[in-house]
Amino acid sequence: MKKLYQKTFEQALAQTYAPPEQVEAQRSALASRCSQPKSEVTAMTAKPRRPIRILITAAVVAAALTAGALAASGVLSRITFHTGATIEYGVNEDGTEYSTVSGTSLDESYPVEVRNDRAWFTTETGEELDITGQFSETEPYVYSYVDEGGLTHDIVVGGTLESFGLFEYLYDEGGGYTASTGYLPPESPAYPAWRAAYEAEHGIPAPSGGEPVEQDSSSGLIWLDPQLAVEDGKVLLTVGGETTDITGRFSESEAYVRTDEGVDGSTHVILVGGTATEPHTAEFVVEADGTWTCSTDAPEDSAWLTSYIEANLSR
Amino acid sequence: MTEAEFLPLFDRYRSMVYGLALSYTRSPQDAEDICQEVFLTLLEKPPAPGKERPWLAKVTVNRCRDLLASPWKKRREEDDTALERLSFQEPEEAGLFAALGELEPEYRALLHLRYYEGFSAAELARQFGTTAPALSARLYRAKRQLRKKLEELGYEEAVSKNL
Repeated sequence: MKKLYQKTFEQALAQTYAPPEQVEAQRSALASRCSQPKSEVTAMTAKPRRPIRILITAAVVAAALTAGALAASGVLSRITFHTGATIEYGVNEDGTEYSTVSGTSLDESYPVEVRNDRAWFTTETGEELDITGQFSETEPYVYSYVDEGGLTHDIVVGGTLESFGLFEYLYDEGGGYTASTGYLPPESPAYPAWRAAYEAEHGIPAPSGGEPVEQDSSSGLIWLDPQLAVEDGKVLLTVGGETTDITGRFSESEAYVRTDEGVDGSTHVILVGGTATEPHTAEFVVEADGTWTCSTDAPEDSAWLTSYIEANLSR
Repeated sequence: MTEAEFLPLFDRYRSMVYGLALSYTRSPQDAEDICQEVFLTLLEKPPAPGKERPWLAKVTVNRCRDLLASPWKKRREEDDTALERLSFQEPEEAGLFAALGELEPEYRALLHLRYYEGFSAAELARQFGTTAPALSARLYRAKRQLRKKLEELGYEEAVSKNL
């Protein structure tokens, strides 16, 4: 297999790889940025969004970050879920805190796989369990284990064989809820009965307002996907091909806000907040009944984001 | 990151990043775009020294996922046929390449990292935050799917010799 694959791919690479002069041009262009100040490098990089997953992180984590002495910059902690996602909490060089989610599993529904009408769950030891018939749309299957760091992982599966979702909840050694991440099929509501049942039993609080989630585009939502660029000290926001200079119109505590209509007629509220050298965006799709979903690359505890939600979107 | 730190990494890993992106996206143009993004990210947020190779692989896969999931991704018309124009020395090589195109992108990436870049199952498990047995199970499923596609395309001999 290895030999055949290598021979095959070497031929594909040889026929598609960029010519030497193009590679050299790219090399030189990138090398010229090695001595650039951070803000200019930022201007040339599109702001990546978080991986496309449903994500909830516990508010208690953000609160924990602000308490205590954060003497040095850097990563404070990194948690790896059994599903493959990683949450990293840290402090930027300027002292602001951040949390990022990355590294979703290669197989989106991992560790559950449906084969020949059976549902198989892969445990942390690699063992496969047949969980067919052990979950439904109202009652979840729960697999629990304790990792080497003492964190308890509850992996909760619910739905049907054809359309299931799963969430992983982490608890610290004292049993305190820490964080969660999960996956729901596109047609699923954000809070299916099986998920609500598990969270009610374990005392996990529901969000106070709408639910800040990121959803896969296959859910039916079509994002406007605002883009930011920082050039020559100006902050430029591009939405739907239109670029606006929003320099000085936002801060870390107050967002720049604009409302646009989506391609499907839905209302999209676009926010920009942060610093002039490190701005972030958030896009809300607001339904007629007031419910909303959000896609953002901002840290969870961004003041401009939380204050906007509390003032405008809470139930 | 200084130029002296960056250039050796670019020279050493550009083809790895491009090849991985090509295997995932099946688009030479998208793979070039991913290459640019990944090395810009390397400049902005370099990993710890000595960790560059797995870091670059992981960032490349993440960028590929983001690209394919983006509703604004525009597929350039020429990329739809770019790979169809490739020629291979042996029929089974053409068959393998075609069969790979029928797999899920994540399985393609896994097979590429394992059989072309030579990452061990343990290294891949660490990279993607899972256990080695679970990663091995996934690799097994990827190969099984590849076998099935090769058989569907009529390359039973390639299957019997290599899988």
